Order: sequence, then structure tokens, then C-alpha cells
Amino acid sequence: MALAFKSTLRGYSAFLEKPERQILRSLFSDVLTLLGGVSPVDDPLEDDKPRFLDRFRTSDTVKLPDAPQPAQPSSSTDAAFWDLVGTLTEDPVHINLDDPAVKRLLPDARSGEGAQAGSEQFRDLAQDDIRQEKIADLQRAYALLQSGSLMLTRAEAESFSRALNQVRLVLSSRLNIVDEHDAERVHAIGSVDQATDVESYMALLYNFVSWLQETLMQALIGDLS
Amino acid sequence: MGMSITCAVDIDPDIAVKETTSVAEPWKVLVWNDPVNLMSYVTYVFRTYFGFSASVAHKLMLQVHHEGKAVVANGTKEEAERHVAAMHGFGLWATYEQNQ
Repeated sequence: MALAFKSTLRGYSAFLEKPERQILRSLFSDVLTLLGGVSPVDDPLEDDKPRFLDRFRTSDTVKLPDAPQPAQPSSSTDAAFWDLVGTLTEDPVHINLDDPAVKRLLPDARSGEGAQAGSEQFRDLAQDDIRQEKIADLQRAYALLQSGSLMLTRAEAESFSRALNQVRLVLSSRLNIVDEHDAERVHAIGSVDQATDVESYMALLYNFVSWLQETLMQALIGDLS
Repeated sequence: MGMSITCAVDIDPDIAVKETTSVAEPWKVLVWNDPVNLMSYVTYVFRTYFGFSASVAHKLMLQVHHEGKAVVANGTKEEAERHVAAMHGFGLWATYEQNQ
């Protein structure tokens, strides 16, 4: 059972069971995919409780992987060069704005007169930066779930709250939460025995992520002067 | 969003710049209501990003919630773009438009 976020002297703490972290990670990955990002390298999750031997493990007994061998000269240097250049050139990432969930993450920016043309201009100007920020938040959040006991700095906590928000926006789009009545309908699904199909299971996830984000926001707001 | 009917008007960029610099705050930033963003989250974003006091942030959040939208900033086009980009980074549904 997850423990809510709370503000402590050492940071923002929470506890999440392994299955809860696995679910959150898969949700973060799903949103990353929608945004054309990739999940961080998937390290196996640590167990919920520290193992007995971990108490005796010190940093100098940890065996580091061997340093990568220096690259072969000439031909692979060219390859490395082109890899680098490849990442610098404009690589058009396909973002499917016809998907309402993607449109919810990257909405039109202009209202009023000339909204359509203005929104398109804004996309040309800013969409990629916004997308990259969202990807960075999701990747950080993914990495922060490595162990069951979370202890986040304020910056990490804010980043985590933005990532949770992205998950909720995507789930709300899939659940067709358009108005307050829809939100209440989804909110009413509170226990596992009510999760009889994909949609009600998704509603359960939505409610769990909402609960987690709300406890995090209360902890963060409580610390504002 | 029922705003896509408005046709795109070709504006000479030079003229647009002259117009925007002649008025102090020609653009406004709006945040729109949605049933997903938590009230606590919206309030937190208003306080930390715009630096609003707790009471101003709370009032604006309630205005978004009850009236469907609220103006959270006024400024030049560049400022409005920057604010809207930030709001989208937070996942808030924000737009900017010209003040009449």
C-alpha cells in the first residue's frame, strides 16, 4: 500500500510498493512514447525493503563495469562524427496531433482573432522546447522510482508533479473526461472489484495518480511561505 | 475548442511589430478551466511561476474554475508567448490573444 507524500526535513518522502512503481513507470513510458521520447535504461526495480546484506555494502565493494574500450580509429571515428551530427540536424519527430491525448499535452496556444494561424506559428516556435521539457520530466520521474522509498528535493518533487500531471492528462483523454460530471463518474470507481473492464481499470489508475499528485501538491504548498 | 472558424489574416510582420510596441500591454494570457488539473496544482503553479500571493493565486484559480477562464498576465507578444509556453510545460490549458 502506497504512503502519501509528506514534507520532511530531508525532503519530500513517499513510499510506493513495487507493483505501484511498475505501473507508474509503464504510464510514464506510454506518455514518453506519445511525445516521441524514450524511457531511460530500464534498471530492475529494487525490492521494497533493503536486503540484509545491503547494510554491509559500502561503495568501494561495488564493482564498477569496465570502462568502454576506446573507439577504433578512423572508420568508427567517422561513424561517431555522423552520430553526433545526426543528433544535431533537424530530425523531424512525428507527433500525432490528431490523437486527442497528444493535443491535450501540446494544445493550441492562441485564442481570439487569428487563433489558427497563430497557434501554428507558436508550434513552429516553441512546441519542440515544450516537448523536450515534458520528456525530461517524465524521464526524471521514471528514474526516481528506482526504489520504494522516495525522498525528493523540491526541484525533483516539482518535476515529479508535472510528470504525474501529464499521465493524468493522457488518461483523462482516454477516459473522455470532458466536464465535471465525467470527472465524478471516474472518481466513483474506487476499488479493485469495480474494475471490471479496461476503462474501469484505467479509471482506477487515474484515481491513484490523482491521489498521489494531490498529496504531493499539499506537501509542496505547505512549504511555501 | 470552437475557435477554429476564425480565418487567418495575413499581417505584415513589420506593421504588427509597430502596433505591439505602441501599446504597453497589447497581449493577454488566459488560463482555461478543465476538469483534470487539480486545484492545488493550479494554485501552486500560479504562486511559484507568477509569484502571486496565496490569496491572489487562490482567487484566480477559483475564477478559472467557476467562470471557465481567467486572465493571468498581460504584456508584449514575446512575454505572452513565454508565459504560455511555461503554462503548457506545466500542463495547464493556456492561450494568448490580443487585447482589444
